[in-house]
Amino acid sequence: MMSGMSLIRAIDPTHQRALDTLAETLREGGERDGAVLLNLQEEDRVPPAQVSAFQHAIADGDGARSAIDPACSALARCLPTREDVSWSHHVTLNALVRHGYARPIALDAAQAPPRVRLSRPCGTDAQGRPRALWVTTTRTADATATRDRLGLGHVDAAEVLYRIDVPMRDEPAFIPTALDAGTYPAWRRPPAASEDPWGLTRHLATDAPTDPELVVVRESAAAAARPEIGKHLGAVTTPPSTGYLAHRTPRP
Amino acid sequence: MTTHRSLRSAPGAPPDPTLPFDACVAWVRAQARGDVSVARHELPEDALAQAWTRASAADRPRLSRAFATALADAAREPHGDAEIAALAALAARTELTLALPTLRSLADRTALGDGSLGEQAQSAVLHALAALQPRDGLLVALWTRLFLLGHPWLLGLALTALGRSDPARALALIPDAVRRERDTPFGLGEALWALANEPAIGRARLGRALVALSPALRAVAEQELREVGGEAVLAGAGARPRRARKSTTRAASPWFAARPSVVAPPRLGA
Repeated sequence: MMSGMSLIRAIDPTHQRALDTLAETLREGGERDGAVLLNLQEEDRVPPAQVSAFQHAIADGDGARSAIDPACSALARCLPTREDVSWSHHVTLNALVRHGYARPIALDAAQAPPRVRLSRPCGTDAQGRPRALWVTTTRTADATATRDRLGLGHVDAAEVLYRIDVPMRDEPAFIPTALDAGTYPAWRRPPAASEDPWGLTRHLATDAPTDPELVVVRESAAAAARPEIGKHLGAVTTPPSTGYLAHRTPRP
Repeated sequence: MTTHRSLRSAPGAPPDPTLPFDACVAWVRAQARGDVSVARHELPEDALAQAWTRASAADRPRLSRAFATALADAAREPHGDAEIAALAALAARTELTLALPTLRSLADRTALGDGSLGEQAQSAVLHALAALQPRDGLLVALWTRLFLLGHPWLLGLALTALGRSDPARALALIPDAVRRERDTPFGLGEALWALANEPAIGRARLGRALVALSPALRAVAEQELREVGGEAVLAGAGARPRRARKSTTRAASPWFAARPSVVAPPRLGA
């Protein structure tokens, strides 16, 4: 059932004041805050129960920007699917090491190996519990082009990018919504006319809808028989573009 | 949490250059704790590294001092593991040699000392220290001790850190490293690849070290290098490279056209 409304138009009138405060905070911020506001305003695909829970969490907090991510992540979503083909997750070596997937061995980009073995399946935490994982069908070989196609605005120049193939047999997968993106300004929902059963990444420079994307919860990942491998795409060569911001009209 | 207006600058943007230095340090620490940039896709240090990249040449030294001061301040607090991990990783990414004294001091709270830091912070601190260490051999004893401790998560780091500070010693430890890998895997393949790409060692020199191994140990080392795609290093060591297997990965774009029967996720609410 479609909610037909944005995330910041209150279902319960008593929440409207907090939502107005949140919108005002974002309006007063920079361009990226404006992009986050746009995401919240544009989102019309979230069921009313989830919209209501999101708004309740915002109203319970201080209505500030920092309340968005906790409010988003508190929600359970349902959009089950099954896939058994080549979806993959792209991630930097630094992130793999910092999240404990890979050992801290390479001291610089030149020492990043062609393949890195993960200590646990991608999309699980240190205790083996599943965590939401963003996957796409992107197979671009160049690291910089991949970063740009996927809209990975947090990946800076000199970061080393790896691709991890993610088998998705009977895994719950979801079309990403603004609730998944939280305060990530480079994300944006697909154009309203899109009928594809997947989301679309946004190109960092042009904001153009680019590659299919899903969020998967790898409930069976802990049972993976073989260690997963990250495949080296190389070092990103340029700082991330913010060109996407020029293509949005965040302020109503 | 502070409410200074300048602390609300967008993630990835450098701080206002007119911000007092103490407030700049507070801004850095708030970012490192995740108080400000909370996007779930990012590491706390991502926004700080981007701020450093975008800062003007004139502003960078001040920002670097703020990073180093923030790490030193965090190191004085008892429960700052996550913040220390973020700032240590940031130091490695921005080649912040100003942070070396604090990193050296923090090493005493890793497995090399009392082990009071959490695992992630230990890993980040030792990795940053290894990446930033002066190449004068001053830390050779420290890396050797880390190697001998044999912690599976840090043993590979000890080897690559030694490769940077004392290449000859790192090469001499390879037989022991291979035996340890055989007992408890620690990422020997990744470490050998790193040594082969260490300028002071290089593929030819590592290759000679592998050739000198006993056949049994050499087989382990070669298999490890193959696992991480290090066939090029093996060629330098005189090993016969295996024929590359044909990729089973399907091309991306034809996938949707070729699989009309695949059940794709229903559109939310459809």
